[in-house]
Amino acid sequence: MKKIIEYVKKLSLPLKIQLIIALICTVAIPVSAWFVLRDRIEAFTKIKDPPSINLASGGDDPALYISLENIDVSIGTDKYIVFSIEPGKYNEYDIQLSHTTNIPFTYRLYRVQEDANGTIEYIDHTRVEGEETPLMYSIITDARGTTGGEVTLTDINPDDGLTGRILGDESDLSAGRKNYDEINDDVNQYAKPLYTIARNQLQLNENEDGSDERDYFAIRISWAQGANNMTDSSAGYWNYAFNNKETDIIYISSKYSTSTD
Amino acid sequence: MNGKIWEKLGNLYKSYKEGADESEKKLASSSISLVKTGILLVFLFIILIFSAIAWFASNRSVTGTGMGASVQDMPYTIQTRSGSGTYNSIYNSLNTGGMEWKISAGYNFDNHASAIEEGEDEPGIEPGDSGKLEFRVNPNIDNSITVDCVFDIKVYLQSVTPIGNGETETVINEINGSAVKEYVNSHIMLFTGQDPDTHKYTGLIGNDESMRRVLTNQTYTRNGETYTTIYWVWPKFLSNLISNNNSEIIYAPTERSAVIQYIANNKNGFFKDCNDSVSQVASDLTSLSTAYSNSIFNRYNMKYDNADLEIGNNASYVLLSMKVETGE
Repeated sequence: MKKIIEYVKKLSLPLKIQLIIALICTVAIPVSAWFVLRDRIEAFTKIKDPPSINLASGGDDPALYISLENIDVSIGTDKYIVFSIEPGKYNEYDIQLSHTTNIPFTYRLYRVQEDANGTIEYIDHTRVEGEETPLMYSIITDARGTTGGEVTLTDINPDDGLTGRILGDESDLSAGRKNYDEINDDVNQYAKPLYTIARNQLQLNENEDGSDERDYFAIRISWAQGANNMTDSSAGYWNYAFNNKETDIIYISSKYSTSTD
Repeated sequence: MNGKIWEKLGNLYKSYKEGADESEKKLASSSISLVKTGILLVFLFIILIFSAIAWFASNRSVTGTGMGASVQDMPYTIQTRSGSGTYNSIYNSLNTGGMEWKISAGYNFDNHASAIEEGEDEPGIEPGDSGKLEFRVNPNIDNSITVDCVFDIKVYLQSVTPIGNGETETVINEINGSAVKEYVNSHIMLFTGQDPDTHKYTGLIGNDESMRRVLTNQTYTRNGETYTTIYWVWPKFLSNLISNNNSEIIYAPTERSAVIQYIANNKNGFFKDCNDSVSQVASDLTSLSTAYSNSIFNRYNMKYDNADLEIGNNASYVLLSMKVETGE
């Protein structure tokens, strides 16, 4: 080793440069060989977050504020329930609405927008922290895919209409009827829900980045008031709403559109 | 040899110390000689390291010739073009031991910046995406070479963990032995061709007997220009794979039986919690391809979608690799 160093020291400058170049080449060749020797190529990419559709209430509220309580059918003939859909990346989605038929309500669906001059009220709980903010909504009469703002709901299992207002399939349920007073009222008769769907609703606030822009909707629940003296046996009794029944359940669900109809 | 180097270094240091005690002139000349010798030592050391690494990294023979090392030529070089992917720096940090698959706007794994121009917020893969990749194998010794191309999927999960003081640490770990890896491996399908008119895929890259996806007997000529194109697709809906309505299907009708058998063989990857036997899945899917049945389709459709959801919730990155085997 000592001899080598002494030998190198004795070399002239050009020879020393040559020696250095030779050394660099000796290093570089095995190194590049080491890189190209690999027998595998790899493509690497990110898996995106799964797209999702969220249901929410009106204003900036989350879904838990969707509420159907306190409908007094002796006052007025309709009530609007505001909710919203966050379609995320999907520019088309289906809305499904199903409801039990205990109370003879009619359900319609409208596209609405926040509008100070609107007539549909919603109490927001989120926009201003710790405070309730009344918001007004109006129907978007020129919304794409609607008739004057009304979203067409297609019945999946319509009212058969043959035996008066028999909603749901009575024969399925008759065997298991449970009566309020054991004589007149067949409760389960109205327990089977009606299913309706509005397919291919377009995202109004188009946002391809999947941010949480909302499309607002309102369910219009309407009814015909029954006269005070109507009895169970009165003709068309079941077609009128009284404040003598308290429970109906509405299911709202939304999913991305898979149909191309 | 190493011992001598350290001895030499020790001597140098000693002479430097002595020099420091003596006159300034002597110190200066001693330092210069130290620098010269130092450069040489560094070179020697680097050569040692790289010869050693080359020897470990390659399974080919390495012959030592004095200070250098010569490596026997690899019979081929894999060639890809032309740029790095968006997530290149993360990929490099994983040290997988492979070469990066170079990509371009037309040929990529949804890891090209052009995705942003097309309206996406960032490049990335999701159900419904498809694309193509290309590569070629250049023989280094003979004028042509015939190889098998083995495709594999690796899946990574990025997790953020707190390390105290409100700081967090982001770590990316490979997912192994999990159903999620099987889901990704199955849901990302590979084909060798696409009909230019109907855009339907042809030439499913199926499994060999060890359930690896292999493209066998690919022949390449030296310095040729023939790149192999691979079409990858992540079908969005099960109906893109199984339907009696041909317009929904993403592959050519001639591929049908191969695809159905492939799905059945990989049923645990295509479907989450699929307890039916392979033959049952194959016969169900075959019947669905001729006549639609709501109950049968929904049973599989839900499991297919659930597998996608599992991927989305439990995987952050995916790596598609292509390994060349010469069959030696």
